Amino acid sequence: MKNYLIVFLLLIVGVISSCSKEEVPVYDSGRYLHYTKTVEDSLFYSFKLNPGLDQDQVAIEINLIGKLLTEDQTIKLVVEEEFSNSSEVLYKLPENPVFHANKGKDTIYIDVYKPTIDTDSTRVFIRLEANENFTPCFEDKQVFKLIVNNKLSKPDWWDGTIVDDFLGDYSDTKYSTFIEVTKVSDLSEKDESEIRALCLKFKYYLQKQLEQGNSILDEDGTQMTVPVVG
Amino acid sequence: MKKINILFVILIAFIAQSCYEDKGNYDYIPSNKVTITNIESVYALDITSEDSEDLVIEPKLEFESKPLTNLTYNWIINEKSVSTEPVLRISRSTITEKCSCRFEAIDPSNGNHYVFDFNIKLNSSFEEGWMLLTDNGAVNHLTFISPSVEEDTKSSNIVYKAYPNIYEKSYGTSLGTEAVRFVEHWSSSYETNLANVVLVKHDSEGSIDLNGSTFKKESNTSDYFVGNASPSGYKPIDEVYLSEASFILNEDNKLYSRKMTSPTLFQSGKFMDEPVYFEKGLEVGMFVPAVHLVTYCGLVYDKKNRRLLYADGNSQIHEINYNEYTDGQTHFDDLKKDMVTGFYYDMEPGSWGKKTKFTVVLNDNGKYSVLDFKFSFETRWGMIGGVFCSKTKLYVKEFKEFDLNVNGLIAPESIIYRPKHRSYMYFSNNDKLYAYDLKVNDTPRLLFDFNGGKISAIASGVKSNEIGVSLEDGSFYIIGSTTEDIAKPTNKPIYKYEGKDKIISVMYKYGDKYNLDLQ
Repeated sequence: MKNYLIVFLLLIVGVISSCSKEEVPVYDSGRYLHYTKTVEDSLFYSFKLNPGLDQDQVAIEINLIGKLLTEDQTIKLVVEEEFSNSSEVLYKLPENPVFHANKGKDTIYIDVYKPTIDTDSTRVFIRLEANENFTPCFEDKQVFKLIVNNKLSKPDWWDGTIVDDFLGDYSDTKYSTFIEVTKVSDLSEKDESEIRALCLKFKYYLQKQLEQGNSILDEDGTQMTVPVVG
Repeated sequence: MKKINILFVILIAFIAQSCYEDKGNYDYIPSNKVTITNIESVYALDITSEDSEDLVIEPKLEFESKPLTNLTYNWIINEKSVSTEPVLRISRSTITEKCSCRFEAIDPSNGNHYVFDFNIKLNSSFEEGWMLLTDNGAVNHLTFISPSVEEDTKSSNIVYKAYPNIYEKSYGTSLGTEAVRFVEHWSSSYETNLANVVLVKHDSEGSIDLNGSTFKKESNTSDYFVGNASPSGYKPIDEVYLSEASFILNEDNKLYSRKMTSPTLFQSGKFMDEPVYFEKGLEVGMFVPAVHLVTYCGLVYDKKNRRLLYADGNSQIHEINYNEYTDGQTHFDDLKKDMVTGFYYDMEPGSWGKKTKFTVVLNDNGKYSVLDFKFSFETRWGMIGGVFCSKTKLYVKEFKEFDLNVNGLIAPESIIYRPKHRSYMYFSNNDKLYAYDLKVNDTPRLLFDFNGGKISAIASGVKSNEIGVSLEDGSFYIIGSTTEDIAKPTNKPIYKYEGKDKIISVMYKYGDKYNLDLQ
């Protein structure tokens, strides 16, 4: 008897609860900020990928939730954590960052500086902090990770297709020569024709250098080659 | 306990009934079946016809029971409603592509739709025939000469109809200036067998790709460069379409390549903005593709190093490796002579473009000679590093070289042409057309005397049984070129077109890819 009652009551509760209406929360007051990227989507800035530059700026996008501003308002940025093996300062936050009026998305710019020593690197976590104008929201989008150095590492786009059809096996030397010749460091957004064109340009460079008696060597001491056809 | 049981059973009954299929218990009105007739399943329109009458389709509706009088109508062409009248009247000129069509009769009382699906397809007189490119000093024109079979009870004759200045007449705009030649090219699409035609233009805007049915401009090939900008000094003089790669030859002898990303399209992928480089540098004087569609390669003449190379379907340039020369024979990698012209002229049946024959005419200070050879791409299988794999390699076969016994009749300004599947080569000497049998290597035979009209271009027609010869004075002749015609020249053309402007290029447009496969 008791068991039946419990089952019956649970069933009724289940049926009734399925009809309940869930209110969608809306931001009806206040303004909230968050980075457009999560802390996992760190920004890696290498001066090796931007040859010829000693300093640059990195752009970080911020979203506003709430009513648009009628006039520019300051944002508060704080360095939460920093790991650096450099005696130099490799980045500088904007002095008075603002979110501009009438915008739902804005960009702040952080100055970055080329380290004198190639092995130097800085990793910094920059937090959006609450102030009188804004409250940070979305826990995973309140902190931004920025890495600044002058090193190369195998980019994500240098995948199996790039290895087999275009550039061959990765090496830092090949990558830096490729950047030097093509002035392009990122193929992730390029279509097949553009990738082919850049890789052929690199291939022709290697061929011409070889014909002029200037053999370009890879890290293992062998002649640098690429498999792209054309 | 009992009450609880009853409540429980009632609840289960409520829940279960929601899964019960509603078989219904309603009053149905028997449908009045409607049959639509008097609409063809396919309407074929000749888009090149000068007949400007509207296309009229008047459907008939037959009702199973009483006629419905309050029907509304809808005509849909390519998913767009074009009329709500019971009879469709549509101007032929508004149909510019193949259309999927539907006629709908709608009963507003119950929303029933009675439909009939049909298609409108386009036929064109421009699909196959002779294309003439003319230049009056100010502007280029396209003239099309369409052959059609006229049959009567006793025989069938080919009649030709000329469509002068067809591009400007059709589209009201000029072809512009500095056009050089036509290049027909196919796609591997199953949707269409018809080729497009590129009009190669020697100006910075570059060549234009014309629809094979209508000659309507579809694109500028200069738009197909990486970065959407053609390279500086861009002035194309030729375009070559292999099965999966294409090339643009520029006036400065630079060659631009691309790999097609979708060979089912006429244009796909982007040309590299840097010219093709090959060892010792490259100045391409000529690019001779093998048969279209199944083209596995093209012959590349590097005038800088006076050598012959070949390009493969991946747009890669290679040396021609051959080491069976006899003493005194010309080597591919060091011709020591200038290449005058070259032709692909035959393909081994069933080889799908992997076994192709070429003729190359060379000039050594006024002494003309011929290289004749077969490219044979052969695939060998074997174990490499413990893995069973294949390797395709080019073998040169049937290599021959001989001087042309032409008694000084070929001059630098001569037009030379070798048709497909024939042992003959044709060449001009001012107003005279000669046939020369390369197999026999005998003296040239005068095929036609144009009596003062200087020959400006030569091309061969379908199955190489006729050749088209244009003169600088604007006239164009179709001349029989069967073995019998050459053995007994009559100096009578099959057809003559008299234009006013200088003809600078002639091409036989094969149109359907299966016409080409016959060649």
